[in-house]
Amino acid sequence: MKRPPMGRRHLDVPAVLDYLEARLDATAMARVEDHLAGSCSRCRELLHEVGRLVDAMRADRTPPVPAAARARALTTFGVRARVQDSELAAWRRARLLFDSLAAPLPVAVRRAVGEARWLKFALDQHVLEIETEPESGEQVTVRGRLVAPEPAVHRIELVAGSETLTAWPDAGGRFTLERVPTGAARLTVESPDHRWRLPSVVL
Amino acid sequence: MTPEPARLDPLEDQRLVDRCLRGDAAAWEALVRRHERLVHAVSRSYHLSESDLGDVFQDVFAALVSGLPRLREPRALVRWISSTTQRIARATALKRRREQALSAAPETIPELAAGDPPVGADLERLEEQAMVQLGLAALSPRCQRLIEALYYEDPAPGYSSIARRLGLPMGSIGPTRARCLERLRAAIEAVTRAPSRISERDRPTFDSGTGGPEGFRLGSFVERLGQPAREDSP
Repeated sequence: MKRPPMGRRHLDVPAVLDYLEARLDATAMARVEDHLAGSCSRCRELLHEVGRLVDAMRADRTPPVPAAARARALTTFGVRARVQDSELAAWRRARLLFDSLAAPLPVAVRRAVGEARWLKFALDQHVLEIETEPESGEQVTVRGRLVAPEPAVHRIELVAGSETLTAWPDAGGRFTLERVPTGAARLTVESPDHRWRLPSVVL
Repeated sequence: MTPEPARLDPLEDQRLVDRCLRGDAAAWEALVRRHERLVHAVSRSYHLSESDLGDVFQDVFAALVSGLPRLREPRALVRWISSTTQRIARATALKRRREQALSAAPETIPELAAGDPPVGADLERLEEQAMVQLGLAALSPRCQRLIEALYYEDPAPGYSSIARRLGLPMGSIGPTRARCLERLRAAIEAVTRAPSRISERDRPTFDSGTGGPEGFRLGSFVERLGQPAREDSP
């Protein structure tokens, strides 16, 4: 079969790459440009697509991911996997140490914290403090601090009504759960080695 | 732990997620390594400290652990990861800025100069790059090394240097790069066309108060593969 002359032949990926990278001699370059200037939408599409792909790669200047950041990402599953494996690990019961609803705060402190409610729990040797603040009639924000070694590897789960909210404390043990429905809530804390169930509270 | 090699398989994410759900830590590491670059790319556009970056990584991947049962399709995963990372990184950056503003004397707060790097991520661009990375991970090691040398190194090395480094005849670099690029296009298309199991209900949403994106703007080029050329295409 007789091949069409160069200017009418469709472009392939090698030709498009050579064209984009200016690796063609002047004659070949002119032929490609003639072809693209014609009515060949197929080759214009190929040029656009390959050009965009090459541009995406050239513009990608993301440095290597820091090992410490990757380690933090891997830890998140470590907690889940280990705790799941040990359905065995018995739930420990946390104790309520303080509830500002039951033991009103001094007036000066109340003035400083406004409508917030404070709760404090003992998780064996560790302590979980939470503060709840009304957002609207039916929702509250829960801010907390877990005082424990490596607080960031703990997973905190709050079940309120049909909602399950999860938080991972930062390195300082602080976490926030927003838009928590009011009503009865159940909190659990899971670490790689233990898990605690907290007494139910009404938010 | 040695990371698992990537596979030419558009359903790789789905398989990894299934294994993760059975508690397979090696699958989790493979999943993290497939998508960590995108988390890093989005986070670093917020100029976070090393410790804040670690917090963002932990929060994003912890959220991914919770969302695993719903997120199996590569494009949905990429969208979800970029949007979630942006939301968390932006909140972290704002919180840090607020703390600094509250604790510093007004005269010590540096003014923003016109030449300062922009804050915030161009999600569309980063998602495109992430899809290319997923396609690249599915190629042979030789193609990966060649494409990385040609298109990711800055400045790009010459053909002679690449030929020496990869032990290839110099004359074969051009044809090999074209073949590898064709395979890359096919791999991206395969990954892009993998069946979706994510429902509209499960897509993350953002309210205007958190400053999240208005909506998803996934790189159109992966979606445009195979569609008719636009008249205004270059």
